[in-house]
Amino acid sequence: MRSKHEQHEPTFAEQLEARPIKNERAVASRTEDDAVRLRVPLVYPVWLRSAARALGLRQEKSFELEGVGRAVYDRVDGKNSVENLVDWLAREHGLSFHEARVLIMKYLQMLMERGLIVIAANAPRDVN
Amino acid sequence: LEPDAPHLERIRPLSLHTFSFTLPRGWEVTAYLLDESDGQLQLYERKHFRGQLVWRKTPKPPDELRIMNEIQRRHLEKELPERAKRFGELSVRKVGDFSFGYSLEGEPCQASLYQPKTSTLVQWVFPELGDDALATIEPLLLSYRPNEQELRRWEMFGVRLALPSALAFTEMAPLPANVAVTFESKHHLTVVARRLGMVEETLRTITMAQLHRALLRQGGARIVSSEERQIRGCTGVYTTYEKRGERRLEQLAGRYWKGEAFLWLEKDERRIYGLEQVGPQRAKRLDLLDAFQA
Repeated sequence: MRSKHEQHEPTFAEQLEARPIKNERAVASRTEDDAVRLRVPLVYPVWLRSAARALGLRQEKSFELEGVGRAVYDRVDGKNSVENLVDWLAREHGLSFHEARVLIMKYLQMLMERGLIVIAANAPRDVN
Repeated sequence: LEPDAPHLERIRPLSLHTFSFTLPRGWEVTAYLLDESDGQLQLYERKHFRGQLVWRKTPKPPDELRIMNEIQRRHLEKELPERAKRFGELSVRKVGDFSFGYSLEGEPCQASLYQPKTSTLVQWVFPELGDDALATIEPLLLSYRPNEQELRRWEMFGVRLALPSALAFTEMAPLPANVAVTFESKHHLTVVARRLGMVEETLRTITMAQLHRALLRQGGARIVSSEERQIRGCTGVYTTYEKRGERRLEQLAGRYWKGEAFLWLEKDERRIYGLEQVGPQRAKRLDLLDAFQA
């Protein structure tokens, strides 16, 4: 197992080849104003689970996505690579490749932090 | 995308402290250090590293060939140790004003130029020598122009200005598709140039006037007036504002400086441009729209 210091920092090429995948446990529904509401189960640490149930703490969290955030989420299907998403955003909004890359990475990070997607990286290349 | 789409053409001119270039199509700055005395840019074309531009103030004219040979030797020692043992020195020829140093195909090549007027060494390092690479590198080097005049060009990330040299670059905030470049004179006149993308998304929920007020307030401004008007033939907003003085006694006196700002929408390019200036009363103002380079 690699230590924290030995972790491989992905290159641009590796970032772009990665494929985001939706969290299958996220349940989507459309809102009146054409946004998407997503509900994902809340996962408490093992030691807190029974207390959370006993105290009636919420068991799921929900997010609303609209505009570009929603459009990016809609295109996450496990087949589109990050590069495909970057090209789409650049075309759609008249951006340069790297303007779109930075924005897509920001949106994907936001979706990841909320537990809505994961990013499947291709196996890192030999860096030696 | 069309390679010569207006928004992509717009990011090709590159003018910083003392030099100007026209970047090859598709090349973009992905990392930068913009200090006047020691800076560098990293350039990529999509996921491919294409070159590094480095500049450095040196009090005396440097031995450019020695520096290029040393860079090459260190690269080879790291990447191709066997080849490093056989490396002698680079061949050098002139490409425009640059000395172009090269060795074997597939190895890095370099270009170097010393600007005596500003005591600045400007160097390019390209990752790979080859016919295709040369077809791109040579026009890039030939596009060089010094930028040492009284009226200085500033062109980066699509922001293009011509400003008196008394206004020095102070900082750049490149948020995704949202660039703001700030300049300041020694009399504390501050000029900010903006270029915003994702226009449809940005204006989905607010008007141009609201956006302008929000941008200015983010920088600590107090809005005085705002009116819609045509700016450079485009839909735009003109806003006057005040900002608390930030220098010496001004801070203690709590005096407010007067500012003016333009924001307009270039529909063909799908970009919003903005120009602002604020400073003490005695600081001479610019004709802001004249500073903007189409």
